[in-house]
Amino acid sequence: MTPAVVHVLLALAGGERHGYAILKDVQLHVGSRLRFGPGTIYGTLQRLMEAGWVEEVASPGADGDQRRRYYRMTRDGREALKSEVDRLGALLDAARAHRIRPRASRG
Amino acid sequence: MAGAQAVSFEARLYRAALHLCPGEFRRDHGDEMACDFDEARGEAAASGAGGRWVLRLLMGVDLARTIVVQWLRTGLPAIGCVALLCPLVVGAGIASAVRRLTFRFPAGGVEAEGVGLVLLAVVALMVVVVTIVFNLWVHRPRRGARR
Repeated sequence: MTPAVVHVLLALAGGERHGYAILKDVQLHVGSRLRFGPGTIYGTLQRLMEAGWVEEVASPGADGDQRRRYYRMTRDGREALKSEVDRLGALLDAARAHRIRPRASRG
Repeated sequence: MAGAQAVSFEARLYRAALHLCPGEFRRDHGDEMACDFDEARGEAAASGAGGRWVLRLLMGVDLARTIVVQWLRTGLPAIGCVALLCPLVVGAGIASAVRRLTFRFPAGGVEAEGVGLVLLAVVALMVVVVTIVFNLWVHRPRRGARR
């Protein structure tokens, strides 16, 4: 799973969004570490739709932006994201065990 | 289109550059990408000239990468390479074989016409086969494809 796929799925975990909202959400989370543009986002969305992890939904009524198309994550997409997050969590645990990454302070 | 006159040069340039993307991708997402560019441009305008140049750079790199990636995803470059390499390899093989054989092309008459007809039929057959394969590849079913 590429970083773009993970970030797009994470953005859609909060509910259905249009492409620009996904882009803004991704930029908010990754900051300046990764630069995503519209082409990356829509290319990723297209691949995710082909994989059946994301689907297009009707524009959410009068509140939604009628110029835009809205996307949401499918059950398969949520499962895939959960698996990836679990994998990354295990990776982080391994990194902490090797003192590459300090343990997060609790409390 | 409302406000078309207000569309800036860079927005028009971006829309024009979108035509370099494969048709299917452009039809599916071209309008959304142009709309996103307009919104991002509006936001960057508030952050001064520096922000606008960062946006131009980001959008330019992103679009260039998208064009390359989306064309690669269509498989057409691979088909093009095969289409170029196959005749070269086959032609080189035939030329090499002909050089070793003592076959002589008939100088004229019925035999020459017969050989010419056979060659013409082979070429026509190859064109038909390549067209069928090309169409099957381009119009192959894709999961989640819209419209």
